[in-house]
Amino acid sequence: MYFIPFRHKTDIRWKAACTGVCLTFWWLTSCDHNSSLGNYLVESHTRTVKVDTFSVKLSVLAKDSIVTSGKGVLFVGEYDDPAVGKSQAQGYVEFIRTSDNENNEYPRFDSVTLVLRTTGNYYGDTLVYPNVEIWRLDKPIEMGDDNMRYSTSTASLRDNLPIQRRFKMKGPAQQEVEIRLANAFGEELFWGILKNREEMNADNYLKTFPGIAVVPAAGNSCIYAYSVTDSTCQIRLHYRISESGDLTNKVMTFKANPAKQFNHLKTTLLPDLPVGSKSDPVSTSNTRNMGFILSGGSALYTRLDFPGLEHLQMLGEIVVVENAKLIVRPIHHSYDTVPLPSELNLYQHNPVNDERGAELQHLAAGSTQLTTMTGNLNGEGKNQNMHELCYYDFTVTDFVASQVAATSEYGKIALSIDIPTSKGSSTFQRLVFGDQDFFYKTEAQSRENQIMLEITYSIYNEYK
Amino acid sequence: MNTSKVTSYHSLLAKVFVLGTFCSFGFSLMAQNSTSSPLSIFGIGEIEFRDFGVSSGIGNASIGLRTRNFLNHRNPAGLGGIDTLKFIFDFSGSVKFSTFSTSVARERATNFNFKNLAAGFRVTKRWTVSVGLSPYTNVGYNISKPQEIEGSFDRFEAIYTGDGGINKFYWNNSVELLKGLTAGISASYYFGTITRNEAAQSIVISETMTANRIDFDFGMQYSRLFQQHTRVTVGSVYGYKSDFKLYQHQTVSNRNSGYLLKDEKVPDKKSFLPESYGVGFSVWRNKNNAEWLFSADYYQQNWSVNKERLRGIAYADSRMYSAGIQLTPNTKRPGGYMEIIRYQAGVCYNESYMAINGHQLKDYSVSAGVGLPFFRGMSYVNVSAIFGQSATGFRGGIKENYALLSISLSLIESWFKKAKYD
Repeated sequence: MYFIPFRHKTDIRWKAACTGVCLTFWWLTSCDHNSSLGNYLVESHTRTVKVDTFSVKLSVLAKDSIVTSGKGVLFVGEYDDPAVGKSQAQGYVEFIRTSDNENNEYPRFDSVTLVLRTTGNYYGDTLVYPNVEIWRLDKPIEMGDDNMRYSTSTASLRDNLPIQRRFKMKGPAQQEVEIRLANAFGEELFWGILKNREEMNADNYLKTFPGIAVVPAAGNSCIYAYSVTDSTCQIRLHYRISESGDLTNKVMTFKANPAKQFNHLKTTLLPDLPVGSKSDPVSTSNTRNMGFILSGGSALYTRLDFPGLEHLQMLGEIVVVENAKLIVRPIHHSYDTVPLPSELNLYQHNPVNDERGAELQHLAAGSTQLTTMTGNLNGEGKNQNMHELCYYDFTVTDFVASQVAATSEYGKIALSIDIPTSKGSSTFQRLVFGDQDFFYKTEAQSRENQIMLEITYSIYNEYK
Repeated sequence: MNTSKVTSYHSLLAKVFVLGTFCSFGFSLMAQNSTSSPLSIFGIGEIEFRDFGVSSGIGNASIGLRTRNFLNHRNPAGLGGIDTLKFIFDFSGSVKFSTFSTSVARERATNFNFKNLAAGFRVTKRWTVSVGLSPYTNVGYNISKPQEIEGSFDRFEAIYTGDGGINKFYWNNSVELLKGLTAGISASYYFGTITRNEAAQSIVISETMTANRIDFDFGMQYSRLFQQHTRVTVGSVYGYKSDFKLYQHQTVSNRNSGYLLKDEKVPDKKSFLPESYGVGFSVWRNKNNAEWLFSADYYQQNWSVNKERLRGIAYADSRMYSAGIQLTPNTKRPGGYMEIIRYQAGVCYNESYMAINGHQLKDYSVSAGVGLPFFRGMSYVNVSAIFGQSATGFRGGIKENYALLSISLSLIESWFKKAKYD
């Protein structure tokens, strides 16, 4: 017979099977267990160094304008910022007629109010109550060819119907305010709609009431942001009707149309704050050694250049960037009355001076493709206004590694630091930070106000 | 087909299968081989000075050892004792429990290791051969060392690891020159790769050293029987100094990005196998079926001509003194299984090839073992326990206390016995 299994215990095949089992056991149980003792026997071939004195050159730039339509926010107010200059904001809103079911023959007009709700965002001193004028627009809001309106856009006002109110605000927290408007305006709107109900299509309605402008009157010291949705921004027309001999209160509501709303923003920069354009940036040596970020108004942002990073390559045969951190520190007391942005973004700077439209998209598209890095406000003092402890930090390891490896000027990239694009045109925010020459009382305190690039790198086979 | 031819054909197939199993497992086990010793960072790794198998229980004393069922790895001339009809397979492995300590730290390690795989038989009346595979050096360490980040108070752990080793495939030959006098020659092919890595932050430096070298060792034994029950054997071994190159290659990579930053061959490392010699003797006595064996060795390797140093570690001449006894109460099994077990005990003192800060590493060990026969006394499982300490004696140096369990399987098969009736 062929291969009779294990006829006897001394059968060679039985022995082979036993051997195989033993070998398999050894093979399965063989493994490494290593000791960590003996570190005096080893010596590193590399050196790791942390340096925080790398040069960062800043220059301040201003955007021509920013898109303000369709952002769902209404900016109103004025603030004379000692660090930047005077900013002014006014908003334009169209309203949609939503409730008009009354067919009573004897309605009576009562009053008209504008309801606004603050978003919580503000720029300036909230201790002074806002003082606004509310104007009726002369004609319906028209969007531009690109279906947008910008911070430089305006709309004409019907100057014969000014309505002005100074109203109380309970600090910067979110809150609803109801502003009583002039009765003459309300009655005209009320009777105009009721008497011409049959002919009152959308076009005729907009001719009757094209919208309002909310503009700052004298004595403001803050710019507030108000939410523009159909539930937060309304005009309410209060009237009464007679039902079975009793008078019943009724409200006719006009809801804001967020698609037809924009803001006009303007900042008159301080005389000693020259700013450049993308193709002609102005170094911060001309701006009191300070970099600026301001959303709204002149929309300032700051360009960052990192000269000399390529020299790291010359330290050794192999240089690897282990970690790189960019730290941006707000200047002490620069945010006593202006809240700091909760986060900032770094963008790859696009040096091309595009057409106006393209430049407006700079932060939204052109400069965000390769490098978008977010730095959050950090430090123990961020919620306590302890000025020394606030900073933004960005992990820029990959960017710095690419710049160290850049072998020509062509490969060098500048960054821009700004408010995140999603918030840039819907909030009013400002940050002032020091460049590396900024001086504040003492050398030590100056360092606490200066931008810093901190790089940890490892060198293999260091050149002597 | 003739029945006897079919049987012999399948017997041959089975033998080929066994050989194939040994070889394939041997090579895969080589890949698994490991050690755990910080000192293996030095030179070509930690050199294994022990034998495994039958002689591990008697303190490795085997230069003057010649018995019927023993594949002598230390002295090729010792193969002359193998029975004419026997085919012997040896497989050895070990489990080592170590405690490494310095004046400030202490750490335990457990290692499972393959140690030897060999097969041998008598080719002619005067010529006996064995082939085998065993590790010659082992490298295995994983050392972490805090490293400063200059310009800050931060630190990170740099990790230094090493593995691999040099293996030896040997072909031992023993020729009987005169009655009782045998000469042996061992041809060994040294091969294997040692890998050393340094991982400091992102940079990983990896260096490999590859060995590829054939070398020869020699041995002599003279054995004489007295009064039909006592055999005295004396033996000696010699190995000449032999230079060999280690082919080196280095890569540097960034472990975060995965990029290979450098990949180049670096100049060969010159090393050598040292001149070595040893003497030993054994006394075997079998009276009234009770078998006694005593064996003792002296063995020296002249490493000190190698001037390579590594942070206080230098080469020194190694010397090993070993002795052991073995008792088999009754080889004929009149009183049961316990009487045919081989009982062993031994001592070994080894001055290592390493001197740390001028102090030579010294290893003291005692061993006890048993040889458990099976397959009707044809084969053995040898189990020995070795307890020892390896230390330099200077303060702050590494000290290793260990318990080593060695297990070997000796399969002894009568392959060349022709049955009168099959």
